[in-house]
Amino acid sequence: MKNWFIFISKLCFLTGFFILSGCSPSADDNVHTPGIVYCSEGDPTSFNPQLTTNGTTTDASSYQIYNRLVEYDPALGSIVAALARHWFINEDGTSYTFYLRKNVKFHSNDNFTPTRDFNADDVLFSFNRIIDSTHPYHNVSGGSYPFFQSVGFTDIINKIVKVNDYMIVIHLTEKDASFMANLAANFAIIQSKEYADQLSEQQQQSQIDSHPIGTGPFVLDSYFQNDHIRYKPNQGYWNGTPDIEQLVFDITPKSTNRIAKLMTGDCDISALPQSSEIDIIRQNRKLELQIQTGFNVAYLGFNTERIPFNNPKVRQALSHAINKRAIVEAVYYGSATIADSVLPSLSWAYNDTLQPYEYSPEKAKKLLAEAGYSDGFDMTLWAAPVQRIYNPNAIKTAELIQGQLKLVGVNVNIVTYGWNVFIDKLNDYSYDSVLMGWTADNADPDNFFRPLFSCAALLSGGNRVNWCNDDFDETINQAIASTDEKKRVPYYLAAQQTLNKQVPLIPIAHALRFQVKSRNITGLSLNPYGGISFAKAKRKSANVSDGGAK
Amino acid sequence: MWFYIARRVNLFVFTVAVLFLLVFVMLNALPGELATNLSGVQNPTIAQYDAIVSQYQLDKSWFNQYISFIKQRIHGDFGVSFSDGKPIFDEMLRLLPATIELCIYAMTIALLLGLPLGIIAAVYYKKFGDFFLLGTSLIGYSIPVFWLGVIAIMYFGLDLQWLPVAGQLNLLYQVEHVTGFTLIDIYLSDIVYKQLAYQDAIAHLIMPTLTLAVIPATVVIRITRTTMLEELNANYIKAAQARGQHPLSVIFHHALPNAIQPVLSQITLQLSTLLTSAMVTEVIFSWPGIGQWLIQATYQQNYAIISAGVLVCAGFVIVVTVISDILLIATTPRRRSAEYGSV
Amino acid sequence: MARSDSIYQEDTIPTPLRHIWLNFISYPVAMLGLWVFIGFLVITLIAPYIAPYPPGLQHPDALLFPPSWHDDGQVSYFLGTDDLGRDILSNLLHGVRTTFGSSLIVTIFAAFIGILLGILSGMSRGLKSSILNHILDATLAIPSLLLAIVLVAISGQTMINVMIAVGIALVPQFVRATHTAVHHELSREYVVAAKLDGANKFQIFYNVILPNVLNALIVQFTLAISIAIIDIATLGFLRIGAPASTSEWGTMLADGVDLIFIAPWNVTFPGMAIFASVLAVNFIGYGLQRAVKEGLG
Repeated sequence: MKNWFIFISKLCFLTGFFILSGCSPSADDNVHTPGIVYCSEGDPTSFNPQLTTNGTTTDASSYQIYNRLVEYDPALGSIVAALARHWFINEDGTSYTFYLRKNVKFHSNDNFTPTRDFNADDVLFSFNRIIDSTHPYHNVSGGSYPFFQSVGFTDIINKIVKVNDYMIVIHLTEKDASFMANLAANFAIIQSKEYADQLSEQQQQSQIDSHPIGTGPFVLDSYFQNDHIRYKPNQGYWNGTPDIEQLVFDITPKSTNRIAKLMTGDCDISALPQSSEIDIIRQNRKLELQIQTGFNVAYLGFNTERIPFNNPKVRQALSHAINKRAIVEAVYYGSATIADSVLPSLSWAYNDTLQPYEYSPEKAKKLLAEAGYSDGFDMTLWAAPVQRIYNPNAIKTAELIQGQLKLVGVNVNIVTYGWNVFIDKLNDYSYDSVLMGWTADNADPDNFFRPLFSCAALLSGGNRVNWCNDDFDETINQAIASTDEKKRVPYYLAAQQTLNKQVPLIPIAHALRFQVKSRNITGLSLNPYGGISFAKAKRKSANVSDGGAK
Repeated sequence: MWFYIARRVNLFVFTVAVLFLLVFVMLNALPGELATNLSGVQNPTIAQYDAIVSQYQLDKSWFNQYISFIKQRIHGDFGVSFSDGKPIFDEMLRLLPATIELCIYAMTIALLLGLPLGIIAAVYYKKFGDFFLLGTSLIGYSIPVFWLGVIAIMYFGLDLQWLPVAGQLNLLYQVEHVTGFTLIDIYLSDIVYKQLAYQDAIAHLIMPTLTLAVIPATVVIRITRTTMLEELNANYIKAAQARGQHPLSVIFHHALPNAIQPVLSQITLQLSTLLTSAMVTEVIFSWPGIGQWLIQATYQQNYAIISAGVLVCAGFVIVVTVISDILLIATTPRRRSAEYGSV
Repeated sequence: MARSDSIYQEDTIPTPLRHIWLNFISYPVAMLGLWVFIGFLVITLIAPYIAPYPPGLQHPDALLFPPSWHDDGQVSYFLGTDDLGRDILSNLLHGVRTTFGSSLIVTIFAAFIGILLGILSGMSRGLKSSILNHILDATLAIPSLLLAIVLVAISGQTMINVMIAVGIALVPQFVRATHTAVHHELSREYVVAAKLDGANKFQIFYNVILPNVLNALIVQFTLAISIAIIDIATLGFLRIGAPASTSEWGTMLADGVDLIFIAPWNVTFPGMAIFASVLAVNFIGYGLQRAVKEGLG
C-alpha cells in the first residue's frame, strides 16, 4: 500500500526518533492476567439502559450487568428464557404470566450485599419505576424512559400482579404484538428492589443508576469517565460464571485509535471500525472482522414545524437533491445499502412498491420553484461528531449533503456539538434538519415506526422530525393490534407509502454492523439489534504466529 | 535576599489575583448561566440555585462575587463536572500527575539531548557542526507537534507495530491509582506481572514523550548555544585558555557552570508553551492527562472545567516560575540586582 | 581605472535597517525562507485564480485518488483527493489563504495593538507600569492554546473568531517584548541626554528609542507569525478552530487522520504545508536575529 508516503514520512522523521527508540518490547504477548479489553466508542451516560436509547450505554450495561425476563437469541432468531424460566400468554393476548427463575443472586458492591435472591418484587420494582409516575424511583434519574415512552409502555400495561415470589402476571389494556419483543429489548432490564430500598434509607437514590446492581454476568468494578470501565466476573452467575478474570472497556472515541490499539495489542475487540479501515483489517492476520446485517437506518430528518420544512414540497425537492449513492460510497465505502424506506428490505413488512426519489437536481429545483423557493434558502444541518452503528461519520455525511444541496441553491450551515450536548439540544427542536439514525431494538417492524414517528414519541425525544400526524398514528397503532403478520402487513405498507409521500425524513442508508476482534478471542455474541455480550467470551491461550502480521 | 523573596512573593500574590480576575471575567463572558459556569451544576433546582447564589454571593456586587469566587477556589472548590457530577478538583488531582509525568520525562530528554548538543554547537561556532545543529533545531522547532505525533503513530505504531500508540498502560494491568505516576504506581502495586507492566508502561511512554520532547529540545539547544557563546567570549574564559588549560576543562569547569543557570531560567519561561504542546500530545496519544480532559470538556462545552483548567494550568506556571526564580536568586547573588523577575 | 566624477571617495554609511538587510541577504538559509515566504504571500493573493477547483468542491467520482505520480493517480488531481473527492492541491492552495494569510493579518493586528500597549507601558513608570505588568504576567502564564479555546468558546466557532482569539493570545507577547525593549532603552545615556536637551516624551520615543527597538520588534514579529500559523492549525486540528469543511490546513490534517490507513497523503501534504510555512518564517526570523546581532557587533 501507498508505501511511498510512509517512506517520505519516515525520512522526515527518522532523524529525530531513531536515536532513541531502539528496540522495545512489543506489547502483544498473551501474558497479562486473563482478561479482555474492549475498545468502546464513548462514555455511557449512566449504567441503566432503561433511561436511554443510546447504544454506548446499552453496550456498557445491558448485557454485562443486567438480565431481562426474556432474551433475544440472535442464533435462534427467537425469544428465549432468561430471568423468566417460562411464560404463558392467554388466548386474547392481553395477559402474560411469567414463572421466574429461582436461586438467582444479585451482585454485591462496597455498599450493598444482597440478603435474598431475585424474586417477583424486583420485577415489579423495575417495571413500576417506568410506568408509575408516582413511584418513588420514577424521577430519580430525570424520569425519562425514552424507549418505553415511545412504545407506549405506560398505556399498554394495565397492571402487573405478583402472584407469589416466583410468578407474576402482566395485564395489558389491549393486544400488542410487539410486547414480548419489547421485553426482550436491551432496555427492559431488572434491577434490585432490595438495593433500591437500602439506597432510599441512605438518601442515595441516584446511585441505583450510577453504581448499578444487577444479576448479569459481570459486576461493575470501577468507572473513570473518558478513560475506562472495569468489570469483574459475577462469581456464581446463574448462567455460568464468565471464563475471563476481568473485562475492561477502554473508552477510545477515535476509530483510528481503536484500530491502532487493536493492532498493538492494547485492545482485543473494537467497536465500530470505520468502513474505510475494513481493508486494512482484512489484511491483518491477527484480526478478524465480524459482519452483521444491521437493522438500522441513517436519515436526514427535517424539523417539519419550521418554515420552509413544513411544506412537503420542499422536503420532496430535497429528496431529489440528495445523492444517496454518493453518500453510501464515500461515507460507508459501500458497506451499506441505499435506503428507500426507513424499514430495511430484509423486514417482512418492507414495501417494495415504493417509488423512490431519484437523484435529480433539476427536479429538485423545479419543485423548489413550485414551492416558491426558486432562489433557494439557508438551513442548518445538525450532525454529531461521533460514530454510530447506522452512520460511521455524520460530519462527513453532512459535508457531502452540504455540497449536494449547494447545487440546488440551498445553503447548508453545519452545526455540531459533543454527543451529550447534542442530544440535550435536540430536545429544543431548534434545528432545521438533523442527521440521525435508528438502530432497531428488536425484529418487529413496529420498532421503526412508533419510536420514530408517533405523536407519543414527540415527548420521549425519539421523534426528531417534530411530526405528529393523526392518520399515520392510527395506521401504526392498528398494525400492532394483531399478532398475525399477514394482517399487519397492509398497515405497514400504507405507513411506508405515507412516509414516502410526506418525507418527514429522507432515509439514507442501512449500514452493516462491523466489529473487529483479535483472532484469539472466541465466544463473543453480537446482537443485530445493538448490544454486545461478553458472558461467554474466552481468550485462547495458543500463541498467534507472528509471521507476516501485516 | 529575604527582601527579594518577600518582594517576589508579594508580586506573586498580585499576579495570581489578576489571574483570578481574568478567569472571573471569562466566566461572566462565557455563554450560559453564570451560576452554572461557576458551580458546574447544570439545570440546578431552586434550592441548589439559592445555595449557589449565597455561596458565590451572586446577589451582591461584582467585587463581592469576585472575592467569594477566589475564596471558593482557594478552598479547593472548583465546582462539579456537568456530566458526572464529580468534584472538578478531585478529577484534576487525578489527571494532573499524568500530565506532569509526561512533561518531566520530555523535559529530561530535552535537557539530556539539548545541553550537550548546544555546547557542541557553541564550541564549533560558525563551523559545520554549528550550522548543522542550528539547522536541525530550527527544523525541529518548526514541525507542528500534532503532525509529528500523527506521523509517529503512522510509522512506529501502525506500520512497524513496534510501539503502542495510545494510553498509559494496557488496561489489563490493574494498577491502583496512588500517585498518578505510572511507573511509581506500578512499583507500589502488588500485581503479579510487575516486570511486564514496567515494560508495557515504558513502551507506552516512548512515543508521547519523544514527540513532546522535540520542541523543548530544540529550544534548549539554541538557548544553551547562545549562553555558552556569551560565556565563552568572557574574559575569564580567555584567561583560563591563556593559562593553557585543556579546552574540555575550560568548557566543563568554567563556562558550563556559569551558563547552566541562565539556561534553566530561560527554560522555565517555556513552561506555558510546553503545557500547550503537552495538551495536543495528550489528545493525539490518548494520554489520560489534564490536557485531553480539557479538550474533551471543550467539546462538551463544559465551562466549569475549562475555567478550572485555565486557573490551574496558569497557576502552575506562575508557581513554578516563582520558585525557580527564587532558587535562581538564592544561588546566584549577582542576579539580585536585576530589575525584578517576572513570569 | 575608471574615472569617478567625484573627487572624494564616497563612503555612505548604510542606515541601521539597511545594514541589517545587507547582512540578512548574505545568509542563504534566510533568503530561502524569504523566497518561500514571498511565494506563499503571492499564493495568498492569487489562490482562487491558480487553484484548479473552487474550495470544497466535491467530486463524487474521484474519491481517495492518490497523487498523480502514483500508479492510480490522475494528473487532474495533482496531489490526490480526500474521502469526499475534494482536490487536495486546490484545498491546500486555498488553505494558504485561510491558514497563512489569516496568520499574517492576525499578527499585524496583534503587533499593532501589542506594540502600542508595550510602548505606553514601557514609557511609563511606577504604578501604571506595574499594574500592566501583572496583567501581562497573568495572561502570559495561561497557555496560549487554552486562552484561544476560551475565547472561541465565548465568541463562537467561526474563522473570524478564531483569528481574533489567536490574535488576542498573541498580544501579550508583543506587549512584553516591546515593554522590555523600550524599558531597557529608557535607562540609556543617550536617552537621558535627549531628555536634558528638552525633548518631550514623543520626541524621545520617536527619534531616540524607536530606531533602537525596531530590530527587536521585527524579530518578535516573525516569531509571532510562526506562532499564529501553528495556533490556527492546532485549533483546526483539535476541531475547535476553523469550522468543519473549511480549507484550513489543521482541519484538513484532522480529517486526514481518519484516513491514515488508506490515504496517508491526506496527512502528509497538509502537514508539509504547515511545516514549510513555519520553517520559512523561522528561517527569516533566524536570519534577522543574526543580522541584527552582527549589525550591532
